Amino acid sequence: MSSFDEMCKEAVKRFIRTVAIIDDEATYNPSQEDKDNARTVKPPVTGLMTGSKDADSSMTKGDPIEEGFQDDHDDLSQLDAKVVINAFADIGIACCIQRPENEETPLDRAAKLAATVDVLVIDWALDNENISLPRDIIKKILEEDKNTGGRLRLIVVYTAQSFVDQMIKDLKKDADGVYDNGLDMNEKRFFIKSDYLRIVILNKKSTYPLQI
Amino acid sequence: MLNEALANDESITDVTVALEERADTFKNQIDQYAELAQIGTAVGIVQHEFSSTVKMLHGNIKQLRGWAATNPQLDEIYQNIRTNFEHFDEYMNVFKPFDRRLQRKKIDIPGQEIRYYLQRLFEDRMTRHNITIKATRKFDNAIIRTYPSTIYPCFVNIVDNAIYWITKDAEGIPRLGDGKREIQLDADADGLLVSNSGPGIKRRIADRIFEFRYSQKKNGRGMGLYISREILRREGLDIVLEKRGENVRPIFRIVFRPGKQEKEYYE
Repeated sequence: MSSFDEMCKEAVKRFIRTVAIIDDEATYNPSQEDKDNARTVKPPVTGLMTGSKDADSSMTKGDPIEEGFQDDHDDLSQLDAKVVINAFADIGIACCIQRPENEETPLDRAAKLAATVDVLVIDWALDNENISLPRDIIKKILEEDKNTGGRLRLIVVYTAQSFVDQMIKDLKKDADGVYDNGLDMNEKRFFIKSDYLRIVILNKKSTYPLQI
Repeated sequence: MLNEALANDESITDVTVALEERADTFKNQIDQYAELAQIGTAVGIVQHEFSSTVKMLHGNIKQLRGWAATNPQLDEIYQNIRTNFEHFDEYMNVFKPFDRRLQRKKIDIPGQEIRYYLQRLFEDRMTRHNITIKATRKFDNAIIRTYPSTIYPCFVNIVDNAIYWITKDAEGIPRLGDGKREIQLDADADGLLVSNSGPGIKRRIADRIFEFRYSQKKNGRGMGLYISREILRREGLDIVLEKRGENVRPIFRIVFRPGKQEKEYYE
């Protein structure tokens, strides 16, 4: 790594002190059984329907094609809070995790939380009943940032879905609504940026391949 | 049926006529299925050949990589071939939900996922024709419980038709004008709605568009809407033309099952 890259990394380290994660599947110290499941589950051979939940348990067993879909990726979607909090603590960053669950004001809570942290990490699949919730949360945060005169802001969206190319366009549209088209989008590396804002989408390790 | 008819004082002749009509309907249906099966077989053969060719091409391109690494002129050509091939390969993969074998259980499919799928599939074509897909939050949040191989081809067919009629007339001649070109996706408690800024569908043909082999397009096969409706009905869903009339914005509705097995959309 060049010395310039190292300097950049050092600057980022000095800046980032707090991280908040919003994930509806965060658990603290999941059971050994969950961990074992998570280890044995393999990503399906096909998988456009990454965000979709199994709706019918009456399926044929033993069919190799079918088996590709049998993996219940709930285990893979779980976020082990303890591991994450400890990992951040080891590099001197305080991390809190919020798990929205049938709350009346998930938007307000998320915005308040985001106001005090340097980095916000948010899961794209937060609520099956309200698919647009992550978009709404991010838009609200941007609006509040703008109302308070702007601030350095990094938002990381993570997802197991393969439609990242489309998600980033949705986020750009929302952000443009707040910042009057003053943002750049990198469609290949899936981020949006301005002088003081960056929103990036990252795929989870368990992401289904594009092949369905 | 015969006993029932006689008990209701219907004549043997009436019953025979009714039975003959039914037999004709079944015969027509068998002919239609035979034709579809023939097309399906042809597609299956093409797909098989195509897969082998893609594998072979993939291997050949891989072999080229070593040469390209030591030859800058070849490297440029290699990169172009690779990029185009990857784009093509990725595009073909988008059609995989059409394959019934890959998904034999019903799943909850959010509207947002259907929109993303359509946007990705038709991206190049819509950019070329300056058409946009707009979806309401209701659509994004709606959830339909079915097989991907049921719902995706249906949406693809409706949107494909919409793009055709927005950009061309029945003869295939491009439409001129700078009017707004858009496809709108919406939802309510009874189903998913697809409308477009193209011409309206005349009342006199509105009921016929779902018939087998009926098409207004020159060289149209007249199978898309028929097949879509057949597949949806098999799963307890349906498709109807909600708004008809020459000067009316056409709206198709994918009708949820009675009793709302789908989840209510989020307000």
